[in-house]
Amino acid sequence: MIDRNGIWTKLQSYRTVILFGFALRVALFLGASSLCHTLERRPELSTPLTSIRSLKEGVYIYERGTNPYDGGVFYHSPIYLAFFTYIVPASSYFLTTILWSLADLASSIALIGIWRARRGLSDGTRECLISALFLFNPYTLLSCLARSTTSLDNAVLLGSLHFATDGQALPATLLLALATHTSLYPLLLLPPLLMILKQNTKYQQGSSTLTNVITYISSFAALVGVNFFMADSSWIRQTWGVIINVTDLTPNVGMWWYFFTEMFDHFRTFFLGVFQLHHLIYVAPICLRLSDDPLFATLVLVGIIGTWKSYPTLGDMALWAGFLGCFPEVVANLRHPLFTLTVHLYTSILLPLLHSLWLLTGTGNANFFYAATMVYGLNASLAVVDVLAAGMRVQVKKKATAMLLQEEMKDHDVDERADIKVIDKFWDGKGWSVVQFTGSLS
Amino acid sequence: MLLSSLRLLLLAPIYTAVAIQHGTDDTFSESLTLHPLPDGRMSVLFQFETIFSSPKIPSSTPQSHHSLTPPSLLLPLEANNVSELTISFTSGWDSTRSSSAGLMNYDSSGGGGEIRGWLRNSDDAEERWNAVTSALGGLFCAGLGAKDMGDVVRDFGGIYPQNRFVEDTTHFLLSHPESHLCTENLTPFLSLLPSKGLSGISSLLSQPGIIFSWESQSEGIEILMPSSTHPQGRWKGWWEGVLPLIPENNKRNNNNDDKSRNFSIEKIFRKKLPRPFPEAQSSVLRLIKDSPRDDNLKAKPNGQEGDEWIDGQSRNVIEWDLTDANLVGKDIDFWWDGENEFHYPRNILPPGISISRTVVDKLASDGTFQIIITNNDDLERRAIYSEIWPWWVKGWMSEIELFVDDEKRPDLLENSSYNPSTPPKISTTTLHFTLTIPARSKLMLKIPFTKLTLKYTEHRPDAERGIELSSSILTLLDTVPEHSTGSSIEDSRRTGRKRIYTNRLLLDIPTPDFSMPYNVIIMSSTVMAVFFGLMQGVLTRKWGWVEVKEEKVVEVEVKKND
Repeated sequence: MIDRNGIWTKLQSYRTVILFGFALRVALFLGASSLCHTLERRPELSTPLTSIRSLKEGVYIYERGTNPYDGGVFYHSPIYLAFFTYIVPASSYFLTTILWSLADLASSIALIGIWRARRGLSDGTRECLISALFLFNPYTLLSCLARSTTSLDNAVLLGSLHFATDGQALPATLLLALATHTSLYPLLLLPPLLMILKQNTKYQQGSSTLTNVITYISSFAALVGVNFFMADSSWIRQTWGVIINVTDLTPNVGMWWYFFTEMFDHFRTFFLGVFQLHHLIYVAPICLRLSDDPLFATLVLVGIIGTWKSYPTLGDMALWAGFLGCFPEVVANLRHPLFTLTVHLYTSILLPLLHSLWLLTGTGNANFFYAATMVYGLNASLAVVDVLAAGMRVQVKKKATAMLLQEEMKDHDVDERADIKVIDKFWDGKGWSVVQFTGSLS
Repeated sequence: MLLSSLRLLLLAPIYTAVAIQHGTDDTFSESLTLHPLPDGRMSVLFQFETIFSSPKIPSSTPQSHHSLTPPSLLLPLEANNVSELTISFTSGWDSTRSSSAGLMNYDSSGGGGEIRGWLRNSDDAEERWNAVTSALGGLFCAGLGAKDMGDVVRDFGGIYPQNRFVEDTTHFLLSHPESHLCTENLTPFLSLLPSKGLSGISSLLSQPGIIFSWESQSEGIEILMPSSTHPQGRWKGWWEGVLPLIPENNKRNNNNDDKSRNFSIEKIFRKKLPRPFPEAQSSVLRLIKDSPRDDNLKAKPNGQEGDEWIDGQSRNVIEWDLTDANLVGKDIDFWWDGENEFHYPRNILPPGISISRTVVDKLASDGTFQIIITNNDDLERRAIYSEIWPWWVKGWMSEIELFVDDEKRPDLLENSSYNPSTPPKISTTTLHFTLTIPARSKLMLKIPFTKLTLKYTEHRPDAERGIELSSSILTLLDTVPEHSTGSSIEDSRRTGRKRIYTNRLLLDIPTPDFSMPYNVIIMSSTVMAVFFGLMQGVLTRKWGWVEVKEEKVVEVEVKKND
């Protein structure tokens, strides 16, 4: 009896979930390899910038002594080129499957690390839930099976955030520099990351924001050096250049490809500027408004980038969804979680269906798939706004509770007073609810 | 006798002077070749060749002199440093229906139009090439110029080597697979000939109503410009067609008795043999007979018979000298002894090497080129397989596969050179594969590819129709010249045909909705604006809380948060 209980508690540990997730991935990779090869070609899971097919092509060309960046076939970062040429050969199915499974495993461990640092306590059930939500999210699982490099980018980014919440400035900035190199947009996460580091290293001396910026810049420059060693300067135009200028218009789940397919040539540059600056304008306001919780600011920014970047995949949404698992109080205060979820289900049917109508059977036209990406994009946008609003609501609730309800919460201990579940109970009892007013901040 | 010798002696200097002035260095010869094909059709090939010396006579005042050569053709080439140039149009040729690997004229390109040549190097070689293609495009009533500079291919010099070596030259090639051969191309072609379609063999050609009723056509010109090392230039023009010997209506109409392939010059051209072009040095009618199939093919009046090695086979050739006054205004009859009715042969002997290209695994956005090279000989052959793709065809080099009889044989690909295009710029992808083709086998080459999504402004008019891809080329590396002596190499390698072309391919590209630009811009921008507006609202507005009392009387206790 005691033994059984022991096993049960052990099973409840997040390690079991992670191991199960890893085993599932390896089993699917080896057992259903034809499914995995089909998934590799899905535009929802990998764009030309992240697909394993392009990566293999680039490595193949590089191994034959030609620079893959000379032609318009290869858009991956030279870091990936070097890694998949010299360390894990891209052509080896077995090694790459293990690598991708490990990447997801690392991501979920990083998520648990973030959760622990945020809460300062370890809660077995919650940890299981967080890793399960990430590992068994179909978006995560499918991008892993498709061997999209988005999964690797996600692992690097989550690792960076994990180290940041842990107060380890050097690995955090180094991994962020790496993530910036491979997918460029994580550059926007530098300000909130610095804020997280500042928050978590208050007690440490000598680690200022300035030194962190310097570490970031120098590690970034070091990686640039590695890239130059791999492929002169030709890679800049073919990797970052493509991300910024959107020269490859292969359909994906994002808003860009059809917009710039149909764009009048003389407006192209203007709208490129608008679309790219659209990411940039959110960074400062969000960091300022959410300065007391920079990790939440990171969550919102990750959501914005995942929705509005030039070559998004479902893997970016998986990162955001997994990260959201670390914020249970936000999830509890969402306005329309069911709507978001059902529309996600709906688009996950709509996207492959309309894609195959247009690009496989050739019976539909481009508007079909565009309509599906519009639904997906609008839903993802609304979800980001919902999460931000829920975060604001939690903030108001916590502040108001701390201000007004201390007397009534006397019989609860300090930890429980900050717990959103306890707070919610009090608020329900009082008939209080948080609202957003029409007036602006004064 | 003495008198005539004396006269010759006296007048010799005058003759020479006259000869120089009229440029007797320039010689013109023409020929018409008939070659019955095994499936009841016949190839007809007109060839015109002029050897000319440098059109510039060395003198203090610049002047050009043309007698048999067309100035409109040679002056642009002269002005633009062209060393060699070939223009070729082909349409309607179907290699699967023939026992030969290509057209009778070896220099004809694959389907569509093609202009290629060697230019002497200079800083502005590119502009000069553009100038040449534009000038000659006008001459042929066809757009020969590049739609974009990126369409010009430069790494095909190895496939089309120089006829005469001139140092310091660059090869240029422009392929127009969408071009067609039409009546507009015949008149300019005839106007380039010294006989202008009025006399000699060319008068048989100047009948568009007859020529263009044939199944397939190919025309072309090849010019070798004189240079310091080669004072003599040469320009060649050819026109080839394939016509059915049994007219279509005879096959259907059973009342008509004539089901044999018997033909005559008059029956084909509705003209008797024309009077010769006076300046022609030679004017020949040739009939190529395949042995043993055409052993009982007879002709009247009889010509000169001989054996010649043509395209990997020894064939019986009958020649008639058309400058012979006895033949003018006469007809030549051809018939197969004992043939009352033509029976389509059970099997047609395939050529030594044949090639076909199709697209398999066809999806609207992806596909796989499947190239099948058949070697019917008992010899292993070596060849280079070359492709030209527009920039929107993205091949996957890492996924190329070679099969021989369903067995993977990657070892047969000796070497490959791959020059990918640079999208989004309009450019071309070229690739050359050096292959070994085992004896008596079918080599299958599979190249997967993806079609890139083009901007709506990049689609050419009538985008839904699709875009033609140039013929790919198989260049045989082990051929032996036809005139090589010694009978030791009595095999299909002894041929002048070095290049075998596949058919063109029509690929459709996934098109956007061309009526949507405004809608897409408006809708995408709206989603962005909605997102921005909501974010702005959440971030900038006041948050607070309200108390909703039980009695449904809303007594709002507002507390400002920030």
